[in-house]
Amino acid sequence: MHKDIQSGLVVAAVGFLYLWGLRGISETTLSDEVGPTGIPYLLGIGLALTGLLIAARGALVARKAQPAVAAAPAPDDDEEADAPAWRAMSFLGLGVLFIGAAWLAGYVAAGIVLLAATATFEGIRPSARLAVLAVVGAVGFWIVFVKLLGIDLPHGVLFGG
Amino acid sequence: MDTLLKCLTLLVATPLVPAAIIGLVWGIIGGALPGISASVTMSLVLPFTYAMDPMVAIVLLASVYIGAEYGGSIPAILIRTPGTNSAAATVVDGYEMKRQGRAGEALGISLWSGVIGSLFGLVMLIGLTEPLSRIALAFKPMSYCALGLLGLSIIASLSGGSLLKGLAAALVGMMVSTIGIDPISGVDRFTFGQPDLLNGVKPIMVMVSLFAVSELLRQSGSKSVALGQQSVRITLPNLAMMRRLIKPQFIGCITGTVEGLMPGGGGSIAAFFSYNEAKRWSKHPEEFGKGSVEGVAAPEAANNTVASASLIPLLSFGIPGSNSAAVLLGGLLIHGLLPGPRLFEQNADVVLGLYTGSLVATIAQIAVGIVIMPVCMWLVNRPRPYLAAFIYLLVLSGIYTINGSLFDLGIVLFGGLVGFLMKAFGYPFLPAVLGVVLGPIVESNYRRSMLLSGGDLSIFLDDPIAVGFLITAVLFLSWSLWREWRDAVARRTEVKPA
Repeated sequence: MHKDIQSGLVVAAVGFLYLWGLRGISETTLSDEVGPTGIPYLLGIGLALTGLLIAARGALVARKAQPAVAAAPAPDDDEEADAPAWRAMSFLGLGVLFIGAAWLAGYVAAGIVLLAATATFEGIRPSARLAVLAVVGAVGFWIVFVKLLGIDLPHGVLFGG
Repeated sequence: MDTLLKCLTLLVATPLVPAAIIGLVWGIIGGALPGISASVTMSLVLPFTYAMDPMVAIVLLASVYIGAEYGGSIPAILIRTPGTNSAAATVVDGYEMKRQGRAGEALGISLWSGVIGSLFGLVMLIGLTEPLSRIALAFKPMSYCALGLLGLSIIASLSGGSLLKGLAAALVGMMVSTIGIDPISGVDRFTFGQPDLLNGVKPIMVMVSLFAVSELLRQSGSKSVALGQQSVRITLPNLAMMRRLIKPQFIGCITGTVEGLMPGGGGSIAAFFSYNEAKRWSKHPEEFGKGSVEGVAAPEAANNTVASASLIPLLSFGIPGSNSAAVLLGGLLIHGLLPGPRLFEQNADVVLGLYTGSLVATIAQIAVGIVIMPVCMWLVNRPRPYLAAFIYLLVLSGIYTINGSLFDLGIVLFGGLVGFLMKAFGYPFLPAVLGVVLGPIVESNYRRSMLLSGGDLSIFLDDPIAVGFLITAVLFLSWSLWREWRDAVARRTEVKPA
């Protein structure tokens, strides 16, 4: 399926979901002429219509381009290739791991995990050097934030945070 | 005289100079990292500015912008890979000079032209911003609403060929801005019972998600690009060379100012346009593409001028014309500073600090640019996996510091995923950022206007400023639609066999 058809349908679905979410907004006596749902209602309708238009245009382009598909090169505007979806999702998973580790064991432990795991995921072989760098990095960040900038970081529920 | 004294006092009494130098250093390093644009470099430090004094924070961000524009030319000249989009035109002659063993000279010309461009842009910024912002003194709610719509209409020129996709991105941005407590009725919207969402999603989170996290996701697994271990010593141009560079630099400055003022113009367009014009007006056009000094000077002067000139519509009316200007707007909003005439009246010290700090950063650029070169080379040569890991931790730590909430990290990661998908499907980022920033302005002022008129839309026609903005917005949109249609026809004609 043409990329624009897929993305257009997703955009339209987001618009409809947003409109559905409006049902949960209550009106109050403080409501003005437009109300808290007035503009969001227009936004939802607008997004749903825009999504459908993108999908329709995608369908039109796909139908016109069909005979030329074999000869035409892959349509890709990017000069650099993006990471495959599984890779991006896994990278994102490392961030989720950081959130869980920070909640459980605090910032320094989570920082060590994130630095070591990300570097390994990106191609560095696990080694003593990597472990030292991860510890130094996480402690270094903690010193900058907590000691230099005076900003508190997660302590972790295991340590009474 | 009084202003000069105030500037000197600011220099002595506040940490403006360290902020400008730190920002410059960070900007040069960030700009020198291929794939890390000026806006990403700025958005990485944005969360850190949260706890800072507003003036210091804004100077830091502006200095990062100035530094990143120069930093982008380092890999452009050394490895034919522009560090930032706006350094793409520098590749042509900069890399050719490097191949001829003149890398130091090319870097020196880039640095010198960048300083000239930044100084010119700064003069324009100081001269034009306040007079323009005075217009906004006569603004009523209808004018602000119409201004917001005009700001949103620039999505047409930022949509990279698809107005519909730009519109969708802007609408999603506006939807994000509706999350949280409605400021007029006090009702909570789209919070789903989650207390962390009551205060809404801050623009800074959207910017970091789209510019930084999505870029990390996109580049995951990409190969390292090393500058090599060769040591390069920057050679600043001598007097004769400086004289030769005046014309291309002037062309760059003028082009950069015009493009900076135009929403969506951006440094890369200015750089390529000035390169073309410099070649046209040069006494040695045959040297272009073969290591021409003028071919390096013009685009570098242009993209550095854009860095300052793009702040003119931002500070005057609150309309960011580029990703980097949008991040700077995020910095202003974090500290409760609203661009426009009130910024000049109520926070004159911040504006004066911005001018002074930018001047310090521009002048210091020469010394810092030379001194930081070895450090920059060392850092840029680190393996990419380590850089990715440290940047990831930096992003997540910075976001946590905004509200001290792990929930915010989840929002930013989700936003990064959305940004990754947007990029993959060809949806532009800047309209989404504009939607988040301008959405509340449009909504709240529209509702205030309706309260004033009792729901009568004709109140907009009674306000000449609002009418002016609305007409401009319609003209801008029509022109963009016509341009998109014209480009589509041209593409179709190219495809058809003769």
